[in-house]
Amino acid sequence: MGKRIIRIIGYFILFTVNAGLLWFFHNFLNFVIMAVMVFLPIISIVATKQVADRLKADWRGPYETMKKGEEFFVHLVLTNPTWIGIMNCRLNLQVSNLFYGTGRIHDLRVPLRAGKGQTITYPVTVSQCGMIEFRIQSIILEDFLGVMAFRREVPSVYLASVLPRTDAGMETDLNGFTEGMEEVEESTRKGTDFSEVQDVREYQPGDKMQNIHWKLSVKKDILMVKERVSMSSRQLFLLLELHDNENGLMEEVLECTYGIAKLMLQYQLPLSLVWWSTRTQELVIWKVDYAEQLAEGYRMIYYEELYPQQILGKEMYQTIRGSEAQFLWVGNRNFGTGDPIMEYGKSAGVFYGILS
Amino acid sequence: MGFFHKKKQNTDIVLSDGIVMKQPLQMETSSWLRNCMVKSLLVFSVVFGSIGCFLSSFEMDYYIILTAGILFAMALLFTTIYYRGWIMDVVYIVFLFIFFFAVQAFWTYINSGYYLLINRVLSTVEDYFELPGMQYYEIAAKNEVLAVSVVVIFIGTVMMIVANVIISRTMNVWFLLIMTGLLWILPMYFRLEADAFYVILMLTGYIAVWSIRSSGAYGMDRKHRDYKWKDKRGKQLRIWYVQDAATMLEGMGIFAVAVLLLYGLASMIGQKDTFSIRYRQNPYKEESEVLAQELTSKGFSIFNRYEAVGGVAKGQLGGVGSVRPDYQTDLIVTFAPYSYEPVYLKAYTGIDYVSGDFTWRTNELPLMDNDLIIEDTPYGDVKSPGSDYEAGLCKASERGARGSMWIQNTGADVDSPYAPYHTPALDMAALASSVMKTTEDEDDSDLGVMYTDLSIITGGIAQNETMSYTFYPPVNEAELRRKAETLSEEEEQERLAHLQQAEEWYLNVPEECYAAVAEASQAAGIRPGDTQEEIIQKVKDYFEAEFQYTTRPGRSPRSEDFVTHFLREKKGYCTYFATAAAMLYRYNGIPTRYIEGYVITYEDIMTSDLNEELDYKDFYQGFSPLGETGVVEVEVTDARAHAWVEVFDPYLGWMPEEVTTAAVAPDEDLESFWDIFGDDPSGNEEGELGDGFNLGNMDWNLDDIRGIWIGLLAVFCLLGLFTAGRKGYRNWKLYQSWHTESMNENVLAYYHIISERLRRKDSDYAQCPTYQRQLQYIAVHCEEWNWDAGYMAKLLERACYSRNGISDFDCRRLMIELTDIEKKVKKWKH
Repeated sequence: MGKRIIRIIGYFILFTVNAGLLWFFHNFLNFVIMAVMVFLPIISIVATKQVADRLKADWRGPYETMKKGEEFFVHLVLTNPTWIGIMNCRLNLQVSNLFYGTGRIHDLRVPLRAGKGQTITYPVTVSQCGMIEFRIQSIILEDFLGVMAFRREVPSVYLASVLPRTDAGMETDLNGFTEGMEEVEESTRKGTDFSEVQDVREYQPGDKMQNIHWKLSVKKDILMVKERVSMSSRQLFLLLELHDNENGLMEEVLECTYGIAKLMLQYQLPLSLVWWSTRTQELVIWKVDYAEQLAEGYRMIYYEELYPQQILGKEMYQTIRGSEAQFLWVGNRNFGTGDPIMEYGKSAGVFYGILS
Repeated sequence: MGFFHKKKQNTDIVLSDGIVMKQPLQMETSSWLRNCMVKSLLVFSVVFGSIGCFLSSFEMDYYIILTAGILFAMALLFTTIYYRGWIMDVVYIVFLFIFFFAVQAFWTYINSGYYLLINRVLSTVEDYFELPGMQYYEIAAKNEVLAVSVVVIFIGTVMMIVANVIISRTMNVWFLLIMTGLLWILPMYFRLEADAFYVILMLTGYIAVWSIRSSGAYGMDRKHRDYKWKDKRGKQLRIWYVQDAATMLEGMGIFAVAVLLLYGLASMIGQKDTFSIRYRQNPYKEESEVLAQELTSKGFSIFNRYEAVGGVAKGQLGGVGSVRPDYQTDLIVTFAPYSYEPVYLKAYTGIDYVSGDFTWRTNELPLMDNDLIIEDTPYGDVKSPGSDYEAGLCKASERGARGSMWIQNTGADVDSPYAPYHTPALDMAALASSVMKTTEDEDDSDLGVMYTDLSIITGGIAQNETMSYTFYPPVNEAELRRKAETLSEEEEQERLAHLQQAEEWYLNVPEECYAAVAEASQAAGIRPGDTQEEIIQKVKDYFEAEFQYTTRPGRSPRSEDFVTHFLREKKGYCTYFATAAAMLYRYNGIPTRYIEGYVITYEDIMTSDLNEELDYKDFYQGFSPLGETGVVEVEVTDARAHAWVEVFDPYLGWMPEEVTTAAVAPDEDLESFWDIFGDDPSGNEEGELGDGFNLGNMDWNLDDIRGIWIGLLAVFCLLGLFTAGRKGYRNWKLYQSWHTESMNENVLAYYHIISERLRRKDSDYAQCPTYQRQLQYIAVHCEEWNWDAGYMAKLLERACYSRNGISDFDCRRLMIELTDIEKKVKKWKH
């Protein structure tokens, strides 16, 4: 605005000087200059208004989820259908990470070619997980002489979900965890459903013959059947603590959780992501059977709000789920119970969920 | 993408926390060359438009396509090389050379073109201010259109260089207006109108510059980036494109169409040809015109910057490098012509030559009976330079004549009498007597007397007053001589006294010029025993043969005597010739004195107005070689101010002698184009270096400037040779370093040469400490890498550190690979 005022003053001075010369010399050239100086701003403003009314702006980018640290391209497409080129198109653009609630507005000045417009490509590299948002706050078109500007609000947004990178070191770190899974793994390889006897009860019509506990039936002289519980129905619950910590804890929790989940999926073991949503005040359990569901789960997490409590999610899970509260808790390892089965990064840790 | 890009200073742009751009922002912008072309179009439109406005206003013809083409090429050259590092420096130096050589080659055309421009402006000034008598420059070039084109190209090129710097760096329309404004404002003063094409071109350029400056997208920098960004703490991140030729071109197109339409609109409202006429003249402009007219009439002009104008100098000889008359009328002389010979009007008589000036040391002169003392003159009480002897002789002639002359002082010095020869001393005395007095004889009371008391107050003729003289022209010299030889005793006494006085006081040659005068006398072929007539003629012949007349002889140095300087340089104007002749004649025993005044030639008389209201008989009586003519009014300009000598004839007395040669110096009429940068009207002599080269005064002449040019060229040549030689020597030493007998050393030396080149080009590469890291770096960034970098590194390490080195086979193999790498390194881009 300040520069525009200076330009207007400068233009006025030029106009005055030329008017003085015209008064002094009565020369046709001064008269022409006077005509130009009177009408050119009008032409300039009208032409710029035309462009401002018909200008289109849109974001374009990849639809798939991005990986943290990988470069991807976001395109801002400005379409100028008029025959008037604009030298100074100023865009106020906001780039934010909705998950962390961080963002910044920047000022981009580009030319707009007549009948064509402009495509600006942002080669973006994201070093934090989350939902990245590109938003056009406003478009300001300055006229040719730089004395007037037209502002346009364009509701165009691009969202990109950025997932953690799959850390190669995660498998070795998870040795302790995977050891407990060897049996599961073995049964999976055999193609059979691993199961264990949860209870023994009296026979009921309809029970499978193969479930009859013959030894006990002989001893009790009554048919007893083994009630089996399939492991596939007893999914792994990964509880993320969406704790807002400035030291990068959340980033480590996300990465650690993502690593575990990927590993589980690699072994075709189903799992569920669990987190406490402060937005809806409920425990969200997101079943993950394949990678796309994991990405979708993360996308949902990215819409959540972080909370300041260190173990709010864990407490809420135990309160709500009660005896079923068998899970892996991923959070600040300084607040975990017992020894962590895995440590990740500077402060994240994975714990067996145990009723306190 | 080049071989690899040198890492720029932290190119990461932080868009938000954890969101960065590690690569440059990509957008569709024009190539660097297209940007340069559009910028050159901008430079061209502003400069050529302004020049065109000037030329078309003054209706100067020139080859428009040739001029425009060359100027556009120049604009393109300068915009293309701008910010191209060493290329820019080299091209500027080469251009400087070419420019100097072109100036030398087209010297005549440049001068002529410049003079044509000046002449046209002077002609316009003459017409506008109604000031007849402007002096125009002579044009040497036959093709005047080409001469104008050439000078426009040269001036335009210089303007292009400046405009390019302004446009490339600041895109500031104010600077451009200051630089070019005078070209189209000057014609306005004279109500001249420029052609529409140039007006549209110029205005389009100005508006485009304003517009691009407003957009902020004009900053071409050394890195030729497509965009710039600024991220200051606490301030909003800004990213902006640098420039886009397509948008600029579209803008210029819109502006051109808008200006064209508005020009048409303006033409519909006010007709161009009659626009200024329809309006009343501005009273302030009228006042300024009066002032400008006055200043112009007095020779004040940006084009006429000369150290001295015409008129008498009263014996002040040195300190003037050039003389430029203003061609204004100094005297109006009314008389009846009687001879083809020039009419001399005496204003000043120099007697003693002292310290390079003539003085009027008349207080020491012996008083003679027929001399008169003039009191209270600016010089004190002085003896009248006039003498009754010569006038009396003529007056007594039986076939003599008597004339009257009215002299009106319109612009000459008011302290001088401007009397014609053979005016009785009584007339001269009247000049200082403050008494109104008629000058005619008692029996000639019918002559009209026009002077008044005011005309003689200061001992001269006051401004715009008229003095009437009676004189007795020596129309029959032979009779006069006969009469002088048969004088009465009393008259003979007077003659001898006159001769004695002349020999006593007019034979002095000062010591400071004595040697030079003696040498010149010998060179002139004067022998002992030569008669007075022979001596006079030999000096004249000597001057005619070896000396040249010029109004721009250059200032004589203080360290050298005026006459000595002239006799050595052999060029000068009438003052030089008269002074030197006076000394030469005196040296050879002829009483001589130095005279200043005005001369009226027969050509002046022929081009003057005849005053038919005045009677011829009132102005001339007696024998006239021309017969009965008429009374003419001759307007004597300061260009007719002159210096000559009077030599003393033992019988006829003091007789005027013309000694200035007619041999004009070859470049007299062709003033140097560059003199406008060298003249200093102040006349300040401080800073004198001697031998005519006066840096402080900028008193250069053409030869001096040429000398400087040649010196500069020589310096540049030497610098170029030195640079090339040093580079050649270094390359030869490098070549030698890897052409030794040891193949191992050759390989290592060759590798180090390549590595050093890379190190200078790429700071990241410079951080790689080992062969391994270096070659891996090259392998990563090399577009076509076909070798095993690790193996090459091992070979090099062995060659460097191992006692046995590597085999000749490996050496040759490495050399082949290194040669290929070197080729790639040469194409390595910043």
